[in-house]
Amino acid sequence: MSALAWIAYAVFFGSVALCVGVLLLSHMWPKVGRVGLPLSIVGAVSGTVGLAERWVVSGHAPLFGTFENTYTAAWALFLAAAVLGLLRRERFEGVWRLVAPWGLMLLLWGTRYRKGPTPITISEQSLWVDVHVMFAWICFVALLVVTSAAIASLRGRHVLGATAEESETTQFKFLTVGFIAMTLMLATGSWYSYLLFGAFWRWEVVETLSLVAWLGYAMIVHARLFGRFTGRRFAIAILLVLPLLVLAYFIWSVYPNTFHYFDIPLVKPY
Amino acid sequence: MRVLERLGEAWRFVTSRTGSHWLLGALALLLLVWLVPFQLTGQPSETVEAIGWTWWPFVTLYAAIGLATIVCTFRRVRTDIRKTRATLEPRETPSAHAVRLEGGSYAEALAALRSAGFEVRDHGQRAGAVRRWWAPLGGTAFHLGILVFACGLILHANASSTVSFTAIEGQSLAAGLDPSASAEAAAAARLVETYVLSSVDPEYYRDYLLFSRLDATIERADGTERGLALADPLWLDPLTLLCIEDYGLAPQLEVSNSQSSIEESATVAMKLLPPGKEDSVTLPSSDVVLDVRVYPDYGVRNGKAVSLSYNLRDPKMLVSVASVGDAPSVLGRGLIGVGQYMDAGPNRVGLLGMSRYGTFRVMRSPGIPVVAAGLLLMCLGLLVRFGGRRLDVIVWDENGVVVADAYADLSGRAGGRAELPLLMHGNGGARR
Repeated sequence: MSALAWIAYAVFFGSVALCVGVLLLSHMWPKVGRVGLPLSIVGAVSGTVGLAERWVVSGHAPLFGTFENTYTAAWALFLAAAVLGLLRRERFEGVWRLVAPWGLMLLLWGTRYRKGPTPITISEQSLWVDVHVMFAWICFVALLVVTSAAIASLRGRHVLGATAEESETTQFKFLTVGFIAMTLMLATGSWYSYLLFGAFWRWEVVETLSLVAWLGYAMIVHARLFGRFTGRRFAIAILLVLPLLVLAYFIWSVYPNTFHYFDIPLVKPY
Repeated sequence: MRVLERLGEAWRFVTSRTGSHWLLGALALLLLVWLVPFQLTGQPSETVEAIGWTWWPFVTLYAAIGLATIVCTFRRVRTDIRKTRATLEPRETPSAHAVRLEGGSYAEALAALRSAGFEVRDHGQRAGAVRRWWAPLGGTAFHLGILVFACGLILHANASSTVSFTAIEGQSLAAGLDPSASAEAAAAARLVETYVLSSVDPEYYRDYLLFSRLDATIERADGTERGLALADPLWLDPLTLLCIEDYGLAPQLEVSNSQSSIEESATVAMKLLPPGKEDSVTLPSSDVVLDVRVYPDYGVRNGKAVSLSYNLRDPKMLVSVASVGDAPSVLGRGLIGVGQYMDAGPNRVGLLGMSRYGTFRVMRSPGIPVVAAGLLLMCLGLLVRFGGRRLDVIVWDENGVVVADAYADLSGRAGGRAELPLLMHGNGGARR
């Protein structure tokens, strides 16, 4: 990575880590929490610079390998927090609290993997892949915000609105955004699977886990729309699907026997 | 009778919303406990696919979920079309949770609703208003999309065909196909016979085994060129794709005899990759067999012959020549580059050039448009359903006081009450 890339990454990492620190300190000194949104904006900007530089150097969108994917995922979380916080400050100023811990965990996980940019492998050189990944990150961000809000609501806090009912309504809106994005992700992935392999569905582990997570969120959306699925039951149901979401997105970084495995070792012929 | 009653109960359960939740939950659980473990323990993909598609618990659940979706969708189609176009019928008196709005008359309230985009139906002293009446139809479209997608998959599974073949650069694509082998092969040959493979262009990143490019160019007799890549196949017609899935090396070999007359010259597709792999060939008119190993980018490291990269930069061929027959013997062995020859007993072997061949696949599936339609319908249905929710507002004129209530999504559950004052008067209102 170039010097600019390292600096941008370091500033981003630092912003994310500081956000987590501010989150913890704000429990004792609430006024400290005021720097959370500005920090998340700094993180979003530096992450944008770093990923843009990486895109130019590698020649492809940053979606290849665990380091790039964790970097992009964390950036997407902070970009969402910054944009929502700036556009609707009165309601979404605290979104950075919901995403900071996830961002830090993702970045820490990514440090274990190769960091240098490489060209993308032939099976991923398609606009369908870029669209598929774009929907994947929209889904990931929306559903992690929902999950964090669910955790907060179980602790008696409503982060996404003035009242519990308002916060839950907003949470449901994020859930529907995440569900729509997940459906689009599966649809584009299925179509591209046919272009690549001649099969719309291949029952590989990432596909299966994504389908199970999709079924889980479908049941929650359905139950919320047509039954009295609110409050604690709603929050607990969202938490129950979380492990599936995380596995669907990152199992390939530890389990290579899947078409979604991208930490390709750089082997020489001698 | 009891059996019929039980069957009726089961039917009502399966086709109910609660039943559908149980079915979806059962499918999710079954996938987690009986498919994912097979995948994680490295079972062959054919085994996993056979379980996922044909094992009876899965098939039973697919059938039950399919049945539930069909019944639910067609039930909703009838009610959705009838209900959605209409506004909600206002009750005689407001509900206990209706909002009382201070300031403004009943007529002003209806005018405000109209200007906010509501369609208003005035019944005198009470009115129903609706905005985005079509939104719930998105749910029907989504479920219909699932059914269409499933039909597409079934059609694809039963009526699709795939034919694989190889073609060497400079040859007709159809040269690698045997039309007499099957109807699918004959159909594929007809589709590609007008094309010649101009070039296969692979590329590896630096000297690593990271495949960064695999393109092919095919050309028609009239000079029209079309390109395809692994991730960008070519549509031969709306139901048929031509894909390149791999490539290999095809040395141009020449074998001549002691009288220096050429016995055989041919470009032969051989399995020589990754570097270090050996393959053998017996050219038809010669009486020798050639064992070949290729170094795509020849070099020497630590005194050993190696390939410095996987790219074809300085190819050299290590060839061992043996006689065929009852008592084969090695006639010669040597390392030759492009344009070079070696003597092998009475024979002379030359490497005239190093071409490539591509491994192609013609895939035809009548399920393509059906699957595409299903996926589009699912996505559009969701966007319609959730892109802007339907809101029904009912307004009463209670002796000069305006009272209103709001319902979201035809669910019968109130939602959007908080927006009522903003919708109608732009100021706050007190609860009744």
